[in-house]
Amino acid sequence: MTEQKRSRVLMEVRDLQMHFPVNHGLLSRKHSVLKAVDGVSFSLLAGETFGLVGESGCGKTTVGRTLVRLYKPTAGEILFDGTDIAPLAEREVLPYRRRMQMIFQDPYASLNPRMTVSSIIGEPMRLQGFPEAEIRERVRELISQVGLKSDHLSRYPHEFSGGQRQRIGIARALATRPEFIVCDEPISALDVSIQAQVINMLEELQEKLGITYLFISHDLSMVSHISHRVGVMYLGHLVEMADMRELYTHNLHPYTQALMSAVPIADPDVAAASQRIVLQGDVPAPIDPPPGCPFRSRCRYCTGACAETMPEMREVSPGHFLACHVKG
Amino acid sequence: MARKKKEHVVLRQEDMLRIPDAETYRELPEEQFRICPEDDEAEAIVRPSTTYWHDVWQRFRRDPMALCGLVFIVLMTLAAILIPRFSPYSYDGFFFKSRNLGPSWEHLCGTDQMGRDIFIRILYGARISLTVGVVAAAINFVIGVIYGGISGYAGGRTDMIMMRIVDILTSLPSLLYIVLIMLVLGSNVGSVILALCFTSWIGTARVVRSEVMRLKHSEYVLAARLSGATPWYLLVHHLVPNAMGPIIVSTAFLIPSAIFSEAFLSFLGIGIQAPQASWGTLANEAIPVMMTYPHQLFFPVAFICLTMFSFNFIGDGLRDALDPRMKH
Amino acid sequence: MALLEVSGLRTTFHIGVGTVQAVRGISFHVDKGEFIGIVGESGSGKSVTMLSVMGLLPQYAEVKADSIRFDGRELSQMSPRELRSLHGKEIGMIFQDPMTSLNPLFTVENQMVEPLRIHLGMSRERARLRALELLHQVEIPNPEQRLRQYPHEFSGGMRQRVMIAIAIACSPKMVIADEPTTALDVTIQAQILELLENLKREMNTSVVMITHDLGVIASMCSRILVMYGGVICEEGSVRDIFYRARHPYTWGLLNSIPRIHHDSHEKLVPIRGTPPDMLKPPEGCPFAPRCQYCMPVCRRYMAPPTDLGDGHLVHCHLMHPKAPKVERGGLQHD
Repeated sequence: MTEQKRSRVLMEVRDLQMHFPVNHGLLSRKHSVLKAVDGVSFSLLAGETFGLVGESGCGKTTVGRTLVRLYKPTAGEILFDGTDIAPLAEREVLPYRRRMQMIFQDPYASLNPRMTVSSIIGEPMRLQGFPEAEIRERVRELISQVGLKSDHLSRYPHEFSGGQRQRIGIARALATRPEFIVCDEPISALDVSIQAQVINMLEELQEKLGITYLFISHDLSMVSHISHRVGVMYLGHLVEMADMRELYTHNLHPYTQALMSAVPIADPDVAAASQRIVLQGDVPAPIDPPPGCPFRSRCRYCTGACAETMPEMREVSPGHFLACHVKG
Repeated sequence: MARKKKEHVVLRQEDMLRIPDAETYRELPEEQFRICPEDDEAEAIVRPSTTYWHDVWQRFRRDPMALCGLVFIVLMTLAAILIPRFSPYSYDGFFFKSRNLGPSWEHLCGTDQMGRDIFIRILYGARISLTVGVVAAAINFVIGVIYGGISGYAGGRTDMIMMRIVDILTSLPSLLYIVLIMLVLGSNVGSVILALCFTSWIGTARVVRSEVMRLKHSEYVLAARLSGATPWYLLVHHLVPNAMGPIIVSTAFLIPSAIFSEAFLSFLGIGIQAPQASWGTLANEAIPVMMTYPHQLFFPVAFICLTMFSFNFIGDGLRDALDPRMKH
Repeated sequence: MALLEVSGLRTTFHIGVGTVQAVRGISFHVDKGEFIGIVGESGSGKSVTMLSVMGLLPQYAEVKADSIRFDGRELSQMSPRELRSLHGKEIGMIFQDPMTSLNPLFTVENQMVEPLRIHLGMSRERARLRALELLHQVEIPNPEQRLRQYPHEFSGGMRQRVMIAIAIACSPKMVIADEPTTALDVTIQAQILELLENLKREMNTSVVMITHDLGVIASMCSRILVMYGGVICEEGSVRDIFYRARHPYTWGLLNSIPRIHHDSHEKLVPIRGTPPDMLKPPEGCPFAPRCQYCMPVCRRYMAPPTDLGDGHLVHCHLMHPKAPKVERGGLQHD
């Protein structure tokens, strides 16, 4: 992976907000808002892997789905190759659809059980109006690219193992030759020995095709393995963002520190030597959150300022961004 | 545990792992220990390819009651189509010489007060019953899938309004509007079907709606939306095919209920009118002579019962065969 | 001294399309007060093994064993009734999804007090006090108030704490934890693991931890069984497995997890292929089709165990004197 290649900004996200109304029933006058993503800004360089980590409910999946416009954001800009795709109507997004794709978490739920492998892989192209002959040829090319055989094409998803299905999902995502792929927890449903197959495949494809990944995961060790830069999310906010190595060695945010130390280490000696920071309590629900830093209820360093305002994202060292009143 | 009484299943020798005894193992020749992994083998799929519908048929076949039901319905359908064509008897007319005969080889089910062959009249009745059942179920299916599909996919306010309309329709007393429709449109097969279809699609629509609501968030639907699939495409290619199991089951149970309703209406005298033979009119005509010629009532009623049982057994069989929970 | 001793356990499931051979003849033991881990991927038979031992499998499962001895008694000879009285009393269980093992219709108090009254014959009042004490022990804040709540009012982590409290309620001799942290977030997982470690220190209970995550057991367990395709590949102390592994599958597992604490970006080495179809598992070594050191003998026979000392057992033909010398790094030429 050559460092100088990654300099063009492919996607820039500015103050992205995605709020969902919460229904309290037909007769209730109460209106709550679930702030799944609440002001997130970052940019993706062409050909890089940007990791997005956080626990369930932190909004990382919503960010991914909003970037590929499965949702229309409440506010904010998504500059894709210079064009803001956030305010576009569904019909206007269509030309951008073939340039961005997604790989899903559950290899069992992401393939339609009633469709053959060849129609699953060909679906994006068919929807984008490619000629049938070209689709057929491309599907054959894709199936061998992900290490399966062309006589697998007429089979149905349930005949494949989890790892094979995930590779079919990757083939589908590659069909329209996208520049940008959101990988939404692509390995968390797979067995350990299969995870590495998928990760290696994603890495090889990036090297060969120069695809930009947004890699969403709760598994910090996999994110740190595959990503060039990482953003840490907590309750709809990006709390820290840096180069992977920088984040690993000089993490500053108390949440990042706790997250890092909580990852189980598969090495008894290292595990014994490392100190685990155990956070108290649970993640609060992102419905009508109070002002201030979202992490303050579980933070060891919480001060008065934390309850008043949400800390701004600032650059503490080149490329290292942090949103914390206390640290840095 | 071991004391579970399942003696008939014995572990066959080839099921077991083969472990050599110590001496054989020690004496194994050198060439058994040469590293030669095969590349192809690792991705091989052992199980034969089966489609979903093939699986369903395999499970359905194992249900003897459902199979009996299916055989009975097929035989009756063939008989209803073929036998009246080649039979010397007619369902209509007056035959003084052969009035009120008991069952014999000449008249399998005897004759009625007008001297008409009851067996032939039952087969003509079967034509009406089967037509009513199948056409009503087909109409229900179409309306139910479209209505439920739209309601479930749109969700929100549209869904709310559509479901309230359905609630109002179900709260109408059915006998009231059925009698009304029959009076206005006259007593014939068409108006019976119309009267029966007026609200019975609601059950199917509800099933489709809940299935669509469940499926519309699945990842394969997201994947298709990602490539610009329209709601109509999603319904036709992803949602309805995957909801087919429950839809078929609910439709399968509609057939016997439509047949029974038709017989019931005709029995009351507001459905099919004499001299046309419906199972309901046959039973009705036999009531006055019930004490003297019980066979005139017995045979039509027996056919109604057998048909009801058959369709219900088929429905049960289909439900078990289509229910994914049965798949271990 | 062995608390649980299982030999020749075979479990099959009779399903529509055939017979799934989930566990194919395994023997192991759990010592008193020992924290043992069973690692394996989905379909390796790790959960089925313990469920078979407990007699908790559904009707269409068939369990055969030469013997299953728990605390001197033969479990395979016990009636379902006798077995039930063991559950909860002498053997506690913690499952992956606490929501399925807690009854949503009853308060937590109800579900905690019942086993105490049944197994230990406590009065309602005493059982309630014990329940409070247990909630305190598993570090649930406001136990008084929590006791009156229903399972859905608890978060995932809190529910798992309740499950742990129920599992240890009758001071069992053995606790089986089946993927206890898999459904939880990393920071919550850290909380639960710390709780289990504290409990291990306080109580002299044997714990069998079933997991797919090598990271979870590295810091917790003293001994590890590695399972694949319904058989045990390798067993030994934590250090045997992590630093002196001899089975190619164990190597494969260790090589396919990324190491966050390593500074350099080393490529992962995946295990090629896919796990065996347990409807038609290979009759030799189940790992043979995916093994890069596969030999003709591997397809014919399952390897008998080789004892490398101190309870480090390897079931691999590479241990045979005629086999080539292979290390974790690759083939050794000398």
